[in-house]
Amino acid sequence: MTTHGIERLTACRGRRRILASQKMTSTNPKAVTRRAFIGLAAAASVAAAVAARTLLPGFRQSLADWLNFEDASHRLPSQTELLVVASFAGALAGDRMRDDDVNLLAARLTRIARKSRQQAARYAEVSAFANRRARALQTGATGFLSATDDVREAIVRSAMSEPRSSATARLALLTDDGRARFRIREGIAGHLRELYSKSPAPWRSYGYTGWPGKPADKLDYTRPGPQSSG
Amino acid sequence: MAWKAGGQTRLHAAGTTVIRLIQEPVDVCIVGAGIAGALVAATLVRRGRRVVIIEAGGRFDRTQRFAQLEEYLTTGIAWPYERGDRDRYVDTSPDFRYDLATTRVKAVGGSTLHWGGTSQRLDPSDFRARTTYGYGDDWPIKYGELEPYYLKAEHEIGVAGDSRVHSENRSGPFPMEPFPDSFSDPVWRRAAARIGATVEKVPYAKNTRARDGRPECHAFSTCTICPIGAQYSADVHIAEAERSGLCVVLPNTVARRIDVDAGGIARAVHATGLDGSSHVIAARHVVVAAHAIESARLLLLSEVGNASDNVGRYLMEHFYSSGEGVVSGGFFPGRIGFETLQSSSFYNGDERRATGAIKLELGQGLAPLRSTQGAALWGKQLAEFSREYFGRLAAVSAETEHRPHRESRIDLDPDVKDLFGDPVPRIHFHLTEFEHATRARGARIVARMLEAAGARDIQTQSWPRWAAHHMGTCRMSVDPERGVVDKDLKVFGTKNLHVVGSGAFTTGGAVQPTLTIAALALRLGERLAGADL
Repeated sequence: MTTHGIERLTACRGRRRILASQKMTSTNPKAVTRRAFIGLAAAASVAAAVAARTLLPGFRQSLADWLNFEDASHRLPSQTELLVVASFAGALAGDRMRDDDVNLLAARLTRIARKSRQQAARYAEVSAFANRRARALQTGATGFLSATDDVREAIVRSAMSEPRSSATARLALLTDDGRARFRIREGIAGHLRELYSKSPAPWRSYGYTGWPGKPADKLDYTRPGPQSSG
Repeated sequence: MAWKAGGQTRLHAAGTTVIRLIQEPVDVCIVGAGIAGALVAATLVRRGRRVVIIEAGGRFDRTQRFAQLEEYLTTGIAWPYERGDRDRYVDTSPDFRYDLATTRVKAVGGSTLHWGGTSQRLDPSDFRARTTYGYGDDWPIKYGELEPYYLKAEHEIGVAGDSRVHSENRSGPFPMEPFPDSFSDPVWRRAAARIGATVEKVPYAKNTRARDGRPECHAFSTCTICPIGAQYSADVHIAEAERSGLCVVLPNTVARRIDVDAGGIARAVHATGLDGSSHVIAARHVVVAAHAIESARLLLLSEVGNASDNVGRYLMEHFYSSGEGVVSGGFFPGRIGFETLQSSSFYNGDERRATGAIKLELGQGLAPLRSTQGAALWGKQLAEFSREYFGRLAAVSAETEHRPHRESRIDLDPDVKDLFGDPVPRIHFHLTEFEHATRARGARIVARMLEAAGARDIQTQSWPRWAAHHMGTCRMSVDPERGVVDKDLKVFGTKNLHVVGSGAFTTGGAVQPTLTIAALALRLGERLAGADL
């Protein structure tokens, strides 16, 4: 399945849900009496008030609060979760990393998670999001680690796509998935890309061998880079 | 405290507080174990003087540098030297937010534990800015008076440079040969020639060969934390001073007040350790070498040397204009981690009257992968972008002069206190049309250089990017009404209190301040060592 295929399928599913929803709520004015209509309107007003009371605090909560959440328990993400986050970091840069590179990055994530409750919580959320999306997009996938390259790419795109409007962005924050996407996009993607760029994987892809990717031979820098044919 | 050279120490238990009182005055008490304090101390102990150094920060074990490097560079875990509970400050700069916590290092070794290593002399014109260009003030000393100490400093810290560059201003060669041209440097040489500029080797305090017990540079490209000590850091001279048995360092101890009597004699320095210990250190001379910010703060807290309201004023920085562009061929910048060429062609001349000094740094701060870090691309698009642009990003930075202004200053914040209840420094950088014009001219020169190098998609930055060079606040002057210290770095109105470091700079030019700090420190150290103590 191509990336575009997944996107189309997702879009079609969403559209079907919208159409079904519209069909269920549409009424024929001629079929209801004036009294019933007033009752319906009153009920709708009450429902709207209840909904507003429930949802407004969420709307009012600042974006910073959404970003800076912490897991009060400071649970250290499991090794598997951190492997998912490390693999996700590679996927952000379009790279399906080798196992040893993933393990190295996961070890660094572990050290960060031990020091930062906030990052630990974010890593856990990234892992949960990536696994959830992988299972939804790929039949038989147990999680992100078993997802194909195309599915990984689709997950990255779904996380990193900017909402079309601020209203859409606000509404998205009402769901777990929406909050996770927002936090990944605004709060952790840059951090993961930075960690990835400081790991051996990207440097190796350009022909460098020394850590952190610069010449092992101290005079090598006087020559062209390893990707060069010159 | 283990005084190894015959001084007396009394320990008193007062609840949980330990009071350490050195009754017999030491020769010199130095506040600050950065490069200024370290070189003063090393010079003094070589002449048999007894020294105590008070350092607010802790020690960083040199053997742990690889671990420190990996932790900082690969995980992005917080700046290793920052202590959020202690490094408090308030910034009221109107144009931008100044991050003092990460633009200085409180530690044994000071900011040289985390620096670029550029070790360049000020230009002779910088000492005569008022006379030559009509702004700022002239230093009370001329370049020629400091030149022998510049040369000494280059040998003390080990600078690799090209002795043919500005040879008319040198009385001797650099101790080490410069780094060779990087792969991209020939491009810059051709580009500079196209616009009528000259380029020169950047002098660095990095070993191009093994020297003074430290290895040669192995191009780890992580110079802000050199893992092998090929780049100089001031803990080298602190260690030398301690090995002499004549120097005691009190790390994690904050100097809070200097007692100066009515006759202008500094009697003692009061300090408090992070462990709650109190220290009163009597000394025949006191040297404040605590960085431009904390030196001024300590004088303000002690109400010393401020009769003409100059302490804390004339705070200066260097602001960068920079630009980047994409070149067609492989450029592969940053492979050694630092630029090896610069241009001084725009430093002096008639335009400096209106816009200040400008130094170009060619290829500064680049790494091949950096081209991808600002891209709003993800996944396969990012991978494709990286493949296309890897090694093709060229960058030039213009380091620009910040003219001294009285309104650019630090003072004591009336509301925010440190751990000990003392007011924290409040920073107020003041930029005028002069600085904006200087940066604008810098940006134009940067763009010209990039164009001459054949770059396309050139982008220049317009916002002020600082260099973490704090200067001024206790400046030298011939006139007590216009400065804080005299030409010998002695605080006006006192007989034995000195301030050394970038705080004493009268002007800052457009070069990194470290070598001038070192030269001033060696000069002061020699004078104190020869003084009648």
